Amino acid sequence: MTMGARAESVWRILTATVDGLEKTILMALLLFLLGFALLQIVLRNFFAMGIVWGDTLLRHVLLWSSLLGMARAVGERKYIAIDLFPLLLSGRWKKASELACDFFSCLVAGVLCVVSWNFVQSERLVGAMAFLDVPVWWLVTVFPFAFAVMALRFACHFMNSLLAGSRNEPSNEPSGIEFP
Amino acid sequence: MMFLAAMGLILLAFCGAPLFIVISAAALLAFYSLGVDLSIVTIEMYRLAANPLLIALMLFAFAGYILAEGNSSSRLVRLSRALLGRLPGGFAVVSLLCCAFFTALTGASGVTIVALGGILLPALLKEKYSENFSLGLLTTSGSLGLLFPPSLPLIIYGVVTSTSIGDLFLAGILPGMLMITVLSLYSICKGYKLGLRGDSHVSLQEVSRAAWEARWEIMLPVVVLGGIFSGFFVLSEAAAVTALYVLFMEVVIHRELKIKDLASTVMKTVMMVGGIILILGASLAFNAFLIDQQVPGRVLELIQEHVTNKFVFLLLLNLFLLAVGCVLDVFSALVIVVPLILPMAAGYDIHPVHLGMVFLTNLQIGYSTPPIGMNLFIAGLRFEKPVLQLYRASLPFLFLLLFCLALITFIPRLSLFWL
Repeated sequence: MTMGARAESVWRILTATVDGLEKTILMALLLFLLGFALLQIVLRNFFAMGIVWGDTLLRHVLLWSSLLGMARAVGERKYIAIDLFPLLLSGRWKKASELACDFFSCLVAGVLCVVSWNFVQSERLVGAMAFLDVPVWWLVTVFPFAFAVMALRFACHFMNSLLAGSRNEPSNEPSGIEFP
Repeated sequence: MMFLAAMGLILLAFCGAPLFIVISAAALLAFYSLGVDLSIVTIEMYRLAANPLLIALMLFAFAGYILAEGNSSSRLVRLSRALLGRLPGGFAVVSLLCCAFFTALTGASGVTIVALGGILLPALLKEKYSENFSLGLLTTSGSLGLLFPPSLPLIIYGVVTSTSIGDLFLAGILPGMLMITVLSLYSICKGYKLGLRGDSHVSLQEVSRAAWEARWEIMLPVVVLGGIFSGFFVLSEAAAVTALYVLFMEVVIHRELKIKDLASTVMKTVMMVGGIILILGASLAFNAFLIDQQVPGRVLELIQEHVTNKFVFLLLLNLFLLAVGCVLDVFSALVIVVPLILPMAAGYDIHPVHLGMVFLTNLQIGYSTPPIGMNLFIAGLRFEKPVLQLYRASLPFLFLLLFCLALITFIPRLSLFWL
């Protein structure tokens, strides 16, 4: 096996692992959201009790699933966008607008990552608790993490289009979001 | 300098940069220009996560995606056909009702055309409706149920404007029924002209058989609406119960959704709702800046100099929103435009619930308005027809819907009847 082929198979295993992990985490988050909301209903209506910190927990689960869901959407290019010019443009101009968008998005996601990292640090200094003994700053680390993943994925899209462009191959990545 | 940056952002948005990124960039630039610590953008997003309605948004969307996976649509069609098949033009009415029911439960359009179009188009053609009539009907009714609870756009409007969701759910009923009634009358007239006599084979036996087959689907609105309006559940709980009900129905009763396919349904849900929630968070941050700079107030002053009449304002608003509806999808339009319009509408003494109905009706129509209404493209893909033919086919329906829009806009009582 050549170096290149080995690197490629390692890369393939790596992406498959990340893909599986991401799916599992998102699935666990959403099903937990559903299950816990149902548990609260049962507890309240049949046992006249409830978990006081339950709502706070659920809102954070929602935050996690939204941010990680968006990070995944960036990977699959299934985000909400206006997409008007790509319909009208073709060839080189279309390519250029794609590259500009990916570059810009990578930049903004990077800035958001730094900015939210500062937010995490300031929460850490404040040291407030979200519920039980769980500090807020633990829960909000998902912000810089998700933004970092988004930045990385935009960078990958950018590199892919650039390489595909230099080889003069059309990139047939799906774009646009499939609505419910 | 700021002007150039704004132009650049708009250009990038039209080039297809993710809307969430564009709005975040706008917020970051705005706060940077004020010299405010930029982590305020993250803080605003975090603040949004405290809104319990978003849990309802996620779980209703989940229920909608599950529902779209199974064969609920064909069971609903069979039942409504058994009930209405005898009417001349009855099958067109069946199509309208099924589309509205399905859209209300699955949120935004797209899925209605994809899931129902495949069943309804051949059936309409078999009933001898013209191809253009059938295509126009299915294209425009792909977003018909948008005003009925528990549609996601209604919930988002409630989140953005802090209006009571219960009020919004009630408000949508009459305007929504108005649109269905007008389109139904048109279809019946059309059916009568074509000499369609309705299906006389439909028997009481078929009605009961179809109703039995669709019993789980029929009970769904009772579960959703009964739960909310009886006060037994809050909205997020009603969403959880709905999701559980639909999951149980599709996985255990009908066995149309395999557990292993559940993963892709979950992924679709989190990707779509995650996208919406992040756009919502980013635009909250940007709106905080606009309000700090008193932008809505200044725009209101400017408009009030020229427009003094409430109805002229509403007319202009309609034109503006129809244009917005052509370019933006319903979620982004709500999140970006509503916070700007709301204070203006208050300046003209327009009830926020009425404004919501006007807004959503406009966006619903904008979905099928040429040149770039999304329904047109989805229908084009689904039915494999050129978009230009769909433009022509949708026109009569669009005119009727615009007529309904005028009624909804200028008769506020239609929306405020139950309040």
